[in-house]
Amino acid sequence: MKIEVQNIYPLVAWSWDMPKNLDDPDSDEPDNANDSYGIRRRAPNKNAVDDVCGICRASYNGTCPNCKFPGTDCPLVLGRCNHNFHFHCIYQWLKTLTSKGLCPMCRQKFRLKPNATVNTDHLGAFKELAITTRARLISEGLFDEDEEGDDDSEYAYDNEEVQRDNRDYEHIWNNPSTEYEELTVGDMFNTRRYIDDEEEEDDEGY
Amino acid sequence: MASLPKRIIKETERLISDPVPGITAEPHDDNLRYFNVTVEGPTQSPYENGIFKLELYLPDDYPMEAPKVRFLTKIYHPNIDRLGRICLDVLKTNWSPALQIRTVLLSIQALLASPNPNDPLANDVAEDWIKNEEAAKAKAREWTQLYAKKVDDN
Repeated sequence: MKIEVQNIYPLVAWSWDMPKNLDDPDSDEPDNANDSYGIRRRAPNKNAVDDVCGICRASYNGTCPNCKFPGTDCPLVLGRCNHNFHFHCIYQWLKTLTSKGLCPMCRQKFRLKPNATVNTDHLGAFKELAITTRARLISEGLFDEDEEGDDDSEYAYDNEEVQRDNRDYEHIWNNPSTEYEELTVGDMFNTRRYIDDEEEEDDEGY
Repeated sequence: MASLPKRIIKETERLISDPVPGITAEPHDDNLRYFNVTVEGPTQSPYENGIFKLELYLPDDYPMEAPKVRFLTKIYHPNIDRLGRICLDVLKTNWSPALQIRTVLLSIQALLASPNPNDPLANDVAEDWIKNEEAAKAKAREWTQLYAKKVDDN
């Protein structure tokens, strides 16, 4: 039998690169099982396909309400708490003072998930947001509010800690290239230090 | 007027297609951010058998900002003042964009079931409530009969 190919219509699908096992960021390892054509196949990520942003309720692979084109124009960020949002949505929320820097879904401090490829482009934006939010809180005299009454004592702070923290911020300010694994606007509502000593390695893992 | 965000359209559709038991919410024809709401008084509460009318407005910043909700029906409740304003954490400091119209209205219904006189908005009512809870509840029942009676005339 002889077959003559007349036309080929390539079809391409995409979805955000989200960890499969949401409980274990280390399982983010892509399954590099290339098929015989050398194409890396990944099972479509259920979360990326079915789930919606908890803020705008549009699909992760769609756009936030203010964007027209999905993809890099309207990126996704992954939270350490495993709640994910369109970057624009969560950014707009964290910008409000009522947010107290908390994840809308679980009310934990919103932190970017470490080692998530999709997050890497946004570390800077979140860092800047953290700094400006802190400045606003201080200028409105809200910074002293004890936001962490129900949290662990690590969040309690005294003047010395505030000063040390201010030095941290100066450090961030003066060294914009400093690597931060995670940043949280939540930190603006207390003086918890930015850098957890864990996981200081870079993001070039893969 | 700017076009209505998809999220609001979706929420409205679902409120109508899959309503919360005991709660109705219908948008105005001329302003889709403004809802006429009714909430049934929870059973076993002084508000039982009452139908309370509320108005709900979604501000421009919704869902970054909480909906504005107010009772239109007079109600005797320590956390609701005589203008119908409601003292409820999720409408103020504990608002989250993950909440929605239906969850807010459910919270309000829950507030009717469990008044909190220790965080009052209507101070006089709260005082009554603390001093003599039974009498206060009787008055709340009376007001429910007077102002929130089920009538099918609209």
